[in-house]
Amino acid sequence: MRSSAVYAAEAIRELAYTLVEKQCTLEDIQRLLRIYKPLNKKDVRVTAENKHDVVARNLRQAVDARLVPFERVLDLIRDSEENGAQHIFFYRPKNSAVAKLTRDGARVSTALWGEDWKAQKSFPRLLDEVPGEPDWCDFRLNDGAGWTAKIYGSGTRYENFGEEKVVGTDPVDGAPIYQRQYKRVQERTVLLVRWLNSGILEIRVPIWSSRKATEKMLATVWDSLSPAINALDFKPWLLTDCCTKMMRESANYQKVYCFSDSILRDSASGTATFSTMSEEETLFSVVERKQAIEAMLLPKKNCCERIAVTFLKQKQTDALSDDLRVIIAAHEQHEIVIGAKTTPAAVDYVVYRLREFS
Amino acid sequence: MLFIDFVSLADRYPDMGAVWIALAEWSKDHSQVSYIVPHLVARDLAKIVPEELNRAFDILVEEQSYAQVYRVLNPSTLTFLPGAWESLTDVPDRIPDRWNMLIDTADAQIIPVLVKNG
Repeated sequence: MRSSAVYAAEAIRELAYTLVEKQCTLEDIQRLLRIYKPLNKKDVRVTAENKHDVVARNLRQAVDARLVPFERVLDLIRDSEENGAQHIFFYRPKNSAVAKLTRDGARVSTALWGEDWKAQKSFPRLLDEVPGEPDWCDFRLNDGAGWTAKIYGSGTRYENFGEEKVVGTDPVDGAPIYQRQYKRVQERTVLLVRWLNSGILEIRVPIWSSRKATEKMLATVWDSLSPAINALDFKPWLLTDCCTKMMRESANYQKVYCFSDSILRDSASGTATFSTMSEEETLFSVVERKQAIEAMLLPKKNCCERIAVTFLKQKQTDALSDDLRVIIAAHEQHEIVIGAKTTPAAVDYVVYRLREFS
Repeated sequence: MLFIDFVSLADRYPDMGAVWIALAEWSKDHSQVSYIVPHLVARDLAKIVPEELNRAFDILVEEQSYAQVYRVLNPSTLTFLPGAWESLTDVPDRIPDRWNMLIDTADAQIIPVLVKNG
């Protein structure tokens, strides 16, 4: 007779495959299978007619035969929902005591969920539907580099539905009254906290349709963290100096990044915005524009307030397999926006570059 | 670079010689450009009759692998918002600008742009 624990484990696996098919790219799933194919060329199959078969047949069979660890399937889900299409807010601890307390992942997790949290919580908790209330769903230590914690929450989007319609007339002046219909769509959101032992706390929230929603999600994360981490013990890691340095030193980094937009601030707090006509172009491709920017940045007090930078694909390493556009010092000076979905390695690469220029 | 064979075009459409010369000179003066924004070109080439210029653009689409798409101008910066659409009706109601702020396209100018296919 099968125990309830076995049924629960099977249910988790079913949900995991559903999520992989729904939110992971075919390329990512096949990349995982390719890693394990050399170990068993016959039983690990990579290609199939369609994505459903790659998941339902190839991946499932490989996991069932214990050729691919189930943990790697969970990693696929994590990678697909935790990286990119996000605002990332950066903070630094105000002193070394706070850094030491935050570095202690065991202390943080115990403060959040109690001593017995591993048995009680059974992280990672997978979820396909939209949760009623934001709730923690994952906590993991990152091989001595820090820790990551994740919350599933919910967000509302409004989508236009149908055409604008005349629904009556104004009784006073007889003018037609129009009505527009909207569809309210509830979606699951992924809110992430990552502590880097280099002394940086990241909070990632998805790109949403309003700034108010972004700020609400950020507040939700800080509030959820409060049993373990006090927001007042942290200060924003300001990226304005990083932007200025990246702009000033760009000639030495032509194979690393290029810009499409920048906002520069002069010594009297006035600003000048430089933008290419389309975002596919680069700011320094036109001589007179480059000279104007360089002239503007010549006085030491002037700075670069915000940049849209494209980090260029790095052929030598796996760090960045595609160009990645990032807005640095986006709405807040300690915020970046990564518009596209990307990989954990790519986000790490961006953070590495931010640290290099700070 | 626009990669347009103006010599061949001038041979086949000799009645439009002045337009091809003007466009070739414009192209040379704007060597960084990889697409054509007709209304900006028309402003630069004010001496060319608009109908003739439009006919030249039509020929570029028909014979030089150019396609017409629609792009949206950010009302604040007068630069393109991300994205290009084949039809005006495909343009979304709101588009994030380069700083990820949503712009209502009802408040923005939507203009045709000629881009090289492929």
